[in-house]
Amino acid sequence: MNNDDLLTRILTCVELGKVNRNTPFPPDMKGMDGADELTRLALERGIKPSEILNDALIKAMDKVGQKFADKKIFVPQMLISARAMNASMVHLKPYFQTGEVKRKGKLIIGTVAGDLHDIGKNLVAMIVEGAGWEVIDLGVDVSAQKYIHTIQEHRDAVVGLSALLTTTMHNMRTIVADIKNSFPAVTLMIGGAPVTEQFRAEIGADGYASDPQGAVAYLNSLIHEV
Amino acid sequence: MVCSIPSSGLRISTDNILKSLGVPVDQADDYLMDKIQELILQSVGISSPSACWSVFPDPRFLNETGTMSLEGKIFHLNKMVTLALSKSTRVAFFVGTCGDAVELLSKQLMKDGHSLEGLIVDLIGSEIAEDVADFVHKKIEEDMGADGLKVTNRYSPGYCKWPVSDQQQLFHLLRDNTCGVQLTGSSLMLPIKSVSGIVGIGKDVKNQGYFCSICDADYCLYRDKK
Ligand code: B12
Repeated sequence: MNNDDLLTRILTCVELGKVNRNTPFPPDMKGMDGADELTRLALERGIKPSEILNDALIKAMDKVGQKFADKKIFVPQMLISARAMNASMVHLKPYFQTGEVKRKGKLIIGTVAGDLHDIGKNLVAMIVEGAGWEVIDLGVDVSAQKYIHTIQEHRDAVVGLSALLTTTMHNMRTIVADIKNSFPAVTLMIGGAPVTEQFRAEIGADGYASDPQGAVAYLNSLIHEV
Repeated sequence: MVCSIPSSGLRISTDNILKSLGVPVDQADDYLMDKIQELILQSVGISSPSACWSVFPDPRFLNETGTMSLEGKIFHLNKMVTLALSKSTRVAFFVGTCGDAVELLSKQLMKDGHSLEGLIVDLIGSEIAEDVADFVHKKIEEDMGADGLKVTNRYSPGYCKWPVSDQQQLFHLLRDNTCGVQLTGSSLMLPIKSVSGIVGIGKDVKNQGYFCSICDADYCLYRDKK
């Protein structure tokens, strides 16, 4: 197997959700090496971590995202792929720390103060992470203070706010204003069932998406702008 | 009144979990079905579903303002809920919960990188909370039936534009009869997998099913589903 074949196999493992040799999924790859073993092998062979990231992992997750958009696969398969990607990322981590490989960017995400609905926010977090972003999840009932504190430590991060209650949409308005007050340049993306594009414009947030794919597309559009 | 709910009182179905995951039932593979079934068993096993309720006499309804006065407090039920409850001569407030073990299991799974399993367990927790509400609603109906009284639909603060902040008064009236569920300053219940609400009681009331056309919460995913 040459290096290109190896990268293709890693891509396939992530696309189909083959985590490691022991995981039973997908059934027709039982007993075969997964993203875990193959990434280790690739690094041993001297393939550059940035090549593994860009030519296998991110390409795989792009394919997964497209299949999801075309309704060929659903949330579970997407999460299994994200897990295979993470198994591979474990090996790349040291290179992220030295700065040799870079992720696409950072997303700080949370459910805003006054709200505890987090299923949608968690989905967005997992899928954005799978798409190559670092995600800092602040959990639920997150105050403006907590967002601001976290932004202080991660000045380059995009910030995501989720709300499911109409009453917490109001909190979203004040939290967005508070964050913009402290950090006018930070990019804020909002979402949640009652949130709309119109509401985004009204409260002065920068981006809105109705689902995880939309969130990834918006985040990726920020990179292309730079 | 307090009741702990036997697991036979729960009706968590694989189909509902698939629906929440966005997977068409006819496209779910065996791997996913087995996983869901296994996680339902595990989650139901560690959950401690329970519900508490108290009955209060002499509610006064003001249809024009959409309010109810009870025990010297004003509840902002909103017109639609007031109208539906207006013939009640008593009302029951209830709080039901799935307990926090399922929530903790979900968090742990996610932390360990098993995001799909964590998500499924989280969805099961929400289903249990909804089932608890169904159970307590029926229980109140049975109890009242013994006195020749009927019950209305149940309504929850936060639904149909009834502000969640009214939770403060609801919890105040329930005093310690809340099955250990705590209310935060922002009117949310902990454990998260909890539900609260009101049921109208009287000779001339009826359970009408949900009538979405009167409610103007257009964003509600429950709209016209029941
Ligand atoms: C599941 C659920 C629960 C679960 C909570 C589970 C949890 N951990 O989140 C339980 C049963 C516990 C619950 C309880 C309550 N709930 Co509830 N709940 C729901 C329900 C049925 C589904 C929400 C959900 O998970 N949807 C699925 C996810 C995948 O969708 P989503 O959240 O919209 O997310 C997607 C997008 O919006 C987007 N997105 C989400 N966040 C973000 C963020 C960014 C940055 C971006 C870009 C995108 C994005 O991507 C996601 C994936 O596609 C909704 C019904 C509804 N209309 O939505 C009610 C609902 C949200 N609940 C409601 C209420 C009122 C409550 C209670 C307050 C009721 C009560 N008094 O008991 C309690 C509060 C509980 C507490 N602890 O205090 C109301 C809110 C109404 C309102 N006026 O705002 C709703 C709308 C129900 C209704 N019929 O009115 N609830």
